[in-house]
Amino acid sequence: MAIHAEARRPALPEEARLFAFEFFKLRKWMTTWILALILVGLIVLLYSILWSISGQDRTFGEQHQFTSQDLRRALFLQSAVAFSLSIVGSFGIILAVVLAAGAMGSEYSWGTIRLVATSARGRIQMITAKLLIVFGLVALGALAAVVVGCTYSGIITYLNGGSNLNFVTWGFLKDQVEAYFRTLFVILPYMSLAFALAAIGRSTMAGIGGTLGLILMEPLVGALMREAGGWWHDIPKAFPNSNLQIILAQNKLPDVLPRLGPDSEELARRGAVSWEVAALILTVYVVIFLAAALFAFRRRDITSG
Amino acid sequence: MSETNGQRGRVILRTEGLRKQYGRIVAVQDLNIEVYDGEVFSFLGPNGSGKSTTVGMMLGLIKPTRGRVLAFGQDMTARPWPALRRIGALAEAATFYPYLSGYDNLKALTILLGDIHRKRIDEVLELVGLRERAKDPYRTYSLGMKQRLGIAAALMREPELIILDEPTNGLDPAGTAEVRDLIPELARQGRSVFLCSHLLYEVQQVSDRVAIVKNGRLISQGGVDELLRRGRFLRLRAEDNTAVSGVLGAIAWVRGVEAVDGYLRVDAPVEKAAELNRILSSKELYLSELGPWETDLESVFLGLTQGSSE
Repeated sequence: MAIHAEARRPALPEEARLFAFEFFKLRKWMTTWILALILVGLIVLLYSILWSISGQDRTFGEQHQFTSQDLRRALFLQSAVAFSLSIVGSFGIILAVVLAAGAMGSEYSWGTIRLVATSARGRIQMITAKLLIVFGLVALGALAAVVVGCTYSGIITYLNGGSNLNFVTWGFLKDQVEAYFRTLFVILPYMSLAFALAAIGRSTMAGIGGTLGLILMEPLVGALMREAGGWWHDIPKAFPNSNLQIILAQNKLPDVLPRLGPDSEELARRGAVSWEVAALILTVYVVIFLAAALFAFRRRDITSG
Repeated sequence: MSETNGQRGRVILRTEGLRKQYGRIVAVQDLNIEVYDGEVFSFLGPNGSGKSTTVGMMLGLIKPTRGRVLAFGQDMTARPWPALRRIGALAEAATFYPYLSGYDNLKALTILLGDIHRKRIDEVLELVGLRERAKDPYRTYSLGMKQRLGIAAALMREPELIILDEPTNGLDPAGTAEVRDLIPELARQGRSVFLCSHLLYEVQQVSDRVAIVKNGRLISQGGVDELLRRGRFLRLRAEDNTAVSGVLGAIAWVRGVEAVDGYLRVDAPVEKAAELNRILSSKELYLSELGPWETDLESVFLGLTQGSSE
């Protein structure tokens, strides 16, 4: 074996290198693409099912107040962004949880955490770069979902002679952009929790299991607490899911389309907090989860998974 | 800043009272070792003796309970990064992203390290004999190939100090020989090597100095020749070994006598051979053979690690 000396090349700034490194790994990871495919496939599947239903002669809603024509019009371009984002804000959260927990937990199961930790400048920078790149990919996934939703919806709109684009005003575009960022925002608490649990538990399963457990248990426990009345009644107002629903209810989705969660009327009836307070509560959750992840990762020994 | 130490040169790695405790279990206790510039330093010990924990602390992965590691004058607990830039490591088993090819794993490393040219990847892959399998996924590699990639990764940044924890794990005899040849080659280039290995024959061939640990405690440290000298015995044979043993037992500077395969192994200074022969002759006990009992690092290692309880 002979060894050759080699010239070094100018280095990018440390932060840029960490981002590039994380992006390179996640871009080449099959799981990232599978999760994106699931999200896009779900959009296509739901549009296809609803398009098929809208071709039938029937009525919908609790009081049969919607017709097939109402449903078909709701599938037109005007609602495409809101509908795609409603899927991102429900099923997409689960996919984001899997990605976040996988990105962190797999480093332990593969043992690569040692490779990275001995090559990166600091643990905090390393974990921050990972989190931001994961969130960036989630944002790209949400964008891809919107693009696919709009494309499919555009086809439906065109085939049904609804190609009028007069609804596209500055106000409309502003609403869509706000809806996009609202949806990304509600993904953050669960994504951060999954990331934190994977870092603390040093495994993907800890992140996915813990977070999905919470997502599944929240509505059930919340309903029981509300039913119990007294001082129990208001506790669910502090749950992430309750506040997430308040934020998502701001997205203007036609009533005829399926919605996973209560609408504005239902929230008002429950005496829900304002969306500003809900945003604040969710922000506090994000800060707590990320602080726990950073604290644990910074202080603990790095050994094989 | 690194410091110099007489003829040996600069101390580039030093542990000072290094201790790691997990609850009541002491993995490493009060370890003091020094590695000098350009030397091959081997760190030996039975399984569970704290070698990998020590390597983890040297790389800033594990925080010491007490004491510290100084690499290139930098405290590896407080601020490992500046020194890590000058260290290449293969800690425990090689670990890489299983879905990436060998080439892409090293490419990811160049992105992270930043100032390394891409063609360095081809160089190190050539060096460890992985060029032809470079584009295959890491998960399809044999254990030996994974170790080779680990060595390649350690060499990527052209380190001044290379820490190799069991680098020949999983390698076939040819691969082991290549690594054995590579280590002195690295030293010839002025790099220092900190080597943990179970292959004591290999260690004896390539090392300048050796430290032996047991139960997390340093039990011996020194040059390989010095250790081998320390483990040297006299080897003799006589017609009546029992009578000879009796006479030897009465000599003050004979520390022990043991019968091994028809010979007597005498724990005594080798330079006293002539005097020993004279004493036995005066008792009309004549030897048919007398000489040094050739020893190797393995015997020294086993003698030290099996002989002392601490």
